[in-house]
Amino acid sequence: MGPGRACFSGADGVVGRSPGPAIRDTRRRSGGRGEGMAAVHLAEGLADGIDALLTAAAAVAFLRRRGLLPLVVLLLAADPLWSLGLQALGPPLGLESTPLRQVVTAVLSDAPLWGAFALGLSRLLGPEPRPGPSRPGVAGR
Amino acid sequence: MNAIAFIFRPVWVAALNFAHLMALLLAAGAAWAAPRRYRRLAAVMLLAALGWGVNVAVSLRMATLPVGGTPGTALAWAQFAGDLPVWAAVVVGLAAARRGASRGGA
Repeated sequence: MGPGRACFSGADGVVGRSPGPAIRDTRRRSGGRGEGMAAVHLAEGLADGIDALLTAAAAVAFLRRRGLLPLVVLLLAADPLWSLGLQALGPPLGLESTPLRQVVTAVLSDAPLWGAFALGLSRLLGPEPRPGPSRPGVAGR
Repeated sequence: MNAIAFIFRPVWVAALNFAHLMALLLAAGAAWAAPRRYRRLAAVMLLAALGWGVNVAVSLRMATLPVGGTPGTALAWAQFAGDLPVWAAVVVGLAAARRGASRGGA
């Protein structure tokens, strides 16, 4: 991100950073120089570590118990690493070679977040699930 | 940059930011009106949307800074803080999922 990752149009024309990787935008924009870079490096390292830990925990939780909530949590947690991977793979794969590809890549970098929002909101705003048939032994509950 | 990209990019930026704002408002509204059984999911969505909003605000502030300029310690930690609501959403969701598992329920 991490949902670094807000969308903006900076002076250099970069768009579509979602929350998460925002911290990395600071370093990119500064060129890795200047006052405060030690704090940037520290914050970036901490953010990456927390992202990795939470993604691993969410993956384990999803594998143990499949369901909408664990899937939403996994998508939210994995978004920073997904964005980071796209940022790393972008130049070698030519994903940022044209302005149009840059926009598409920026949209793709937010894909897990959009997925999480779509899944969660569809449940919250959708119709109530109909109760299924009573299971033996639990009738009347 | 060609003419199409020159026009296309601001449109995409505006559309994405508008979509982010709509997602934030939808999550807030849905959390407000959510049935009791979905309140944990609603809390996760609301925290994630809050984090998204904070990141948009920080990034908009950052976009006004000169490229190559000094980012500043405060801005670096403000961006770090922007991730906190999203991390909180993940932690709340993990706790809710674990609680559901311990009950053996869906």
